[in-house]
Amino acid sequence: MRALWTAASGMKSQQLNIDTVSNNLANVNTTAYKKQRVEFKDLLYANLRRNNGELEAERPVNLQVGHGVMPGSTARFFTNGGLESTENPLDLAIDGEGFFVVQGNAGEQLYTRDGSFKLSVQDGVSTIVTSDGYPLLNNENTPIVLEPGMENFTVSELGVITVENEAGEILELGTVELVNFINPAGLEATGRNLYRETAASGELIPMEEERDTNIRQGFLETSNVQMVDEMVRMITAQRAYEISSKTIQTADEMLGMANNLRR
Amino acid sequence: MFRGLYTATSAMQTSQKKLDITSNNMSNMNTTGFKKDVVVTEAFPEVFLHKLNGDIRTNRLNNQLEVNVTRSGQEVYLSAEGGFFASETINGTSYNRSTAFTVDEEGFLRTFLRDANGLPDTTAGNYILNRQGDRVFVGDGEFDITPQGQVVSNGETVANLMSNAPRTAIGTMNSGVRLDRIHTNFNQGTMEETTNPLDFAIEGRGFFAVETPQGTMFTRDGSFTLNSNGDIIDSEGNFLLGEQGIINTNGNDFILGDNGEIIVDGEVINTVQIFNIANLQDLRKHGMGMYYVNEGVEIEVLPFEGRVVQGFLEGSNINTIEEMVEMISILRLYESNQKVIQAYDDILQKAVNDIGRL
Repeated sequence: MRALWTAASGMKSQQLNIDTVSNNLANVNTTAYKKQRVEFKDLLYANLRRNNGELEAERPVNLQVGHGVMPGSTARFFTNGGLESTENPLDLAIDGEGFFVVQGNAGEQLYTRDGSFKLSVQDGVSTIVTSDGYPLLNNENTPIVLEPGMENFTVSELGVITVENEAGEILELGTVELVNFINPAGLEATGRNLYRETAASGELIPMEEERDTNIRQGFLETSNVQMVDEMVRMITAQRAYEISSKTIQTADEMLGMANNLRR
Repeated sequence: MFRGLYTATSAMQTSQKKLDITSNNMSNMNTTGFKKDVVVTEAFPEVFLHKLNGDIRTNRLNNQLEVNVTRSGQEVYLSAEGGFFASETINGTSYNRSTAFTVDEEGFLRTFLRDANGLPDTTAGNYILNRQGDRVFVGDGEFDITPQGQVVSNGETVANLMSNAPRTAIGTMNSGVRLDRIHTNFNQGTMEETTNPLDFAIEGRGFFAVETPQGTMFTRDGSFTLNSNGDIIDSEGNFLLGEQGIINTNGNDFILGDNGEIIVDGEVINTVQIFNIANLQDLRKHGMGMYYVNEGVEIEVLPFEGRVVQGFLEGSNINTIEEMVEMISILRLYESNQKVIQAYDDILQKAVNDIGRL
């Protein structure tokens, strides 16, 4: 009874669908979270044979039975979330495309759109880091370090970092590095709002000066999850799950009847 | 043994296969661009039932040899009270009181199904046989059917379609049902907005073409992505075909025009090829939302009349209520045939155990 397994594939796929929806909903308040969606594909088709010896190629009509469904991919959508004002000078939001570059523990580069940066103070020297302590990199690929006494940390729309020292002089500390990828959907999400470059994303492209993207200081990017969309997806997934379970019941009842032929 | 036992068995087997297909439709309720399959079943041929002996002539079967002819366009519908029309089916000759046929491409009379455009399709039809049991050739000229069931073309009688029942026949019966074909319903699915610029949906008839290792395949699933070169690919990594080959966007933002033009900075860099395939019945499902045609079959492409929309995906065209009703009727059909088998079993039980008991 193929129908049993076909319907089971439907139930498993809808489980994954619910998993993804629930992850999106759980991250509805995560800074710069990008929503995901599962895409489904139909499974391979089996050709039923007719018993009169016709060759497949000569047969003019279709006699194919499908084997159900499988998840094809989980696509991530890099549309922009909303901007939320926080009035915290260390909060940066990317208004447009692009990613901040941060340095991971092993010295590798990781990418994020979460701009809720903090100061990490060691021996009086402060470094601009993510909430997890990964330093933010400037255009020279070095961490941004504030010496003691530096105040009024400002970032311009183009990412130029300026501070005021004790003498009241304004110093430039480089530019916040922004990069982009040909195919951001190919980035690997490593959790903690970070992404890693993969073969599918392509190599990073440093973003030029004349770009549409601006950095907004004092703002954070909200997640791009649309509650209504997710709710609707959850409803359809639940109903699809239900209907597949009904198919399993039907197939089971039919098998029961076949068993009861001999009483 | 009782013939009906096997008739009921054939119905049970067929309903199992029908459930397989319904179950596949339901599993793919949320699959992008999925098109539902519909099962077409065919009765076994109607064969004559003979009485073994006795000399009472069965005039009832062969009297009143008047044929009612109805024509609509190229299609001819015949029915007769007194005689039978023979057709050649996969499992043998079938004799029916009424028949419907048209002329196929080679000039033979053949039964037909309707294709997606509502036009008669004879490629899998059964040949109509004349009284001698041969296929009837009329060529591409006009022909008439006389009330006696004769086919007249250019003033000549080509064949007599009416077969008389043998003298000992008391009627016809068929001995079951079989799965004849699976027809894919290519109706439009629902449009779902995703706002992703790489999600395309086709409104109207047509297919995207992708280059796969097995050759060009067609799909309605427009959830594309980019590879690291900026080429548009599907989620399996196959290239989407444009009129100038593979579509390379170089990672630039683009706008998709109604006819599939890929516009970067106001310039058309390529156009997504949309195949509006006329012979939909030759498409075979490959899985992964893709369709192929068998070797030796040519696709006929018509001009594309719909439009391509960006930021949308086409959902499946499954109607849950229809599938549910279909499933219920399959289950009950199965159940009633099970009851028939049980009834036969009861009868045999009586015959084996009770007859002859004192």
